[in-house]
Amino acid sequence: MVRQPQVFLMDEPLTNLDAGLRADMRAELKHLQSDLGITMIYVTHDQTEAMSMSQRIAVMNLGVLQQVGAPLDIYERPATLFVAGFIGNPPMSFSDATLSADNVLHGAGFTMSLPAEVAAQVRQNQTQPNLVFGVRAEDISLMNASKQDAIRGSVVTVEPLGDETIYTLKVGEAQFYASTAPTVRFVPDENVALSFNMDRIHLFDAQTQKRVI
Amino acid sequence: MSTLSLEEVTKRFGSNVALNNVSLEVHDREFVVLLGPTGAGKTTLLRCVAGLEKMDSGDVLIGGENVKAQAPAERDLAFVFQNYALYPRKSVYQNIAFPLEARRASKAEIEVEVKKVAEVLHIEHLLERRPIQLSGGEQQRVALGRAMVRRPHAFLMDEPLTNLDFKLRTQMRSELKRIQRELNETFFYVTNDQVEAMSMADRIAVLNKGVIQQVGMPQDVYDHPTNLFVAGFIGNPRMNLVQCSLDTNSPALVDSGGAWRLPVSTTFRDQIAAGGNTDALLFGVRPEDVSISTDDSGIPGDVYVVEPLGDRIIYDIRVGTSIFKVKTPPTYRIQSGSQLNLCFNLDRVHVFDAKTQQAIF
Repeated sequence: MVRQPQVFLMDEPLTNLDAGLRADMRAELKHLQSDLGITMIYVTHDQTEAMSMSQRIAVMNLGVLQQVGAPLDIYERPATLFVAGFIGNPPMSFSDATLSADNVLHGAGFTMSLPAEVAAQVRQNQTQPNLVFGVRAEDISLMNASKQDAIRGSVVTVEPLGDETIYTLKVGEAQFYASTAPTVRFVPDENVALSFNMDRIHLFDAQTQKRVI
Repeated sequence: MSTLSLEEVTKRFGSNVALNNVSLEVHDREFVVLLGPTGAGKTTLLRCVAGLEKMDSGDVLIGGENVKAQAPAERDLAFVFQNYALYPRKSVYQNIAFPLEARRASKAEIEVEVKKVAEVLHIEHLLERRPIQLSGGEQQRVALGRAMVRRPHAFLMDEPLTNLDFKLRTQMRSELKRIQRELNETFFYVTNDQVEAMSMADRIAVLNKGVIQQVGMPQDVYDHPTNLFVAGFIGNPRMNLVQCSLDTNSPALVDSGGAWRLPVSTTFRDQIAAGGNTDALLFGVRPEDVSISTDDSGIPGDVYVVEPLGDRIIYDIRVGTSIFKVKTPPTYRIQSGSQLNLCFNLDRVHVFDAKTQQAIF
């Protein structure tokens, strides 16, 4: 900093710190950057660092730039399957899917109706019939299995993290992660009903791997 | 499957006390995670159980039998490391079959056992491959499979997921937990990662500087840490901890820097005062138990840093000379530099005695 360089290049500077210190240093570095008004390019494999510190993230895989954007834009609208799976923890859950003429999405072990305009958009963007459906853990709600017309699954594991609980669920052939408040309590092997926040589901073309909604 | 009991185990390396009078019981078919920072003595403890390290004093019991005099091989425990140590030239099938061959089991028996284990581990389709053709997670499963066919008394695991990338680690966490449940075996697992401990354990034992700090179910340890070390070590982001004292008259907690006062009930005051120390206290509150006030009430601060994580946003709020981390839903958006007021969920705040480091509540 004393040299007042034009640009700071940083290569995983926080990797060797323990989790608590890393969280503190993240915030400290971000504050310094904005306080000093310096230009910074920061390299990391840790998506939490990228999300929390940057003004914009450039996601790179196999030497190809996948997507560039503000953290929440990338999180909410990942452009490719790679970005969708790489950003977010627990990772986004995926299932193979196809869309039928009556606008019903057929996943591995579940079906759901798509709004007509969403279905039309998918048809316009897909290059072939095979799709990949994606949903983030916080966009799944869990209810008692008695609820009608919901998607059914069973609890594989329960992981309490303190501030939230992560459920691994089996729905047909697919596996989903759902995160809930710690007060929600289901047990392994229990049958549950799932519902997805329809405004926040993701669909990708299975061949081009690109987003289609 | 068996109970593991550690009774008053002490281990020294020269003048350094690595384990100081550690007692802990891992019940039959239980998943216990030993959690602590690097250098806490976790691996040493595991090695004492396995018989790889000689204790200075104390006893180790497996299934009620004192094994102190037994060699590692006699104890019949499976030890799984972060380094998988698979035989590179053998197939997955041969790797898993190896302990049975060494025991001279019949070919038919070996096949039945290997298939059974492969099914639980979900690696049936990989049996003909060589280790080099497997991902890190798959190699880990094979190592586990090789331990499983032996039907040991218990599984000892030393940070087995450390070398995996975070996505695979998340996956394997839930897989290991499922496997332990289906196997119905005793697991004693060591890690420095509090997320692994919280998510997998039936019970967590927190170890620091060779001393057991707390033993309990994950949510209980999270909600009711018994001392400052446990409070700061479990949870991410960490619990906010700020020096304060108690004003017994008004009554209120008062920031040592003079930046804030938090009025408290008389019951709350009496509980603290009963400890005899009202000056050197630490106020603790987890980031999810702090909220941003919608009116003028609360403690004033300004936004130091905003950290969007996608499913939530962490705000670092500066109050006087302290920083409070606040966790909010991703829909809540405020700019860096803004002024605001903080409120605490008073049912979930903690107070510690700064001298004894123990929780008052």
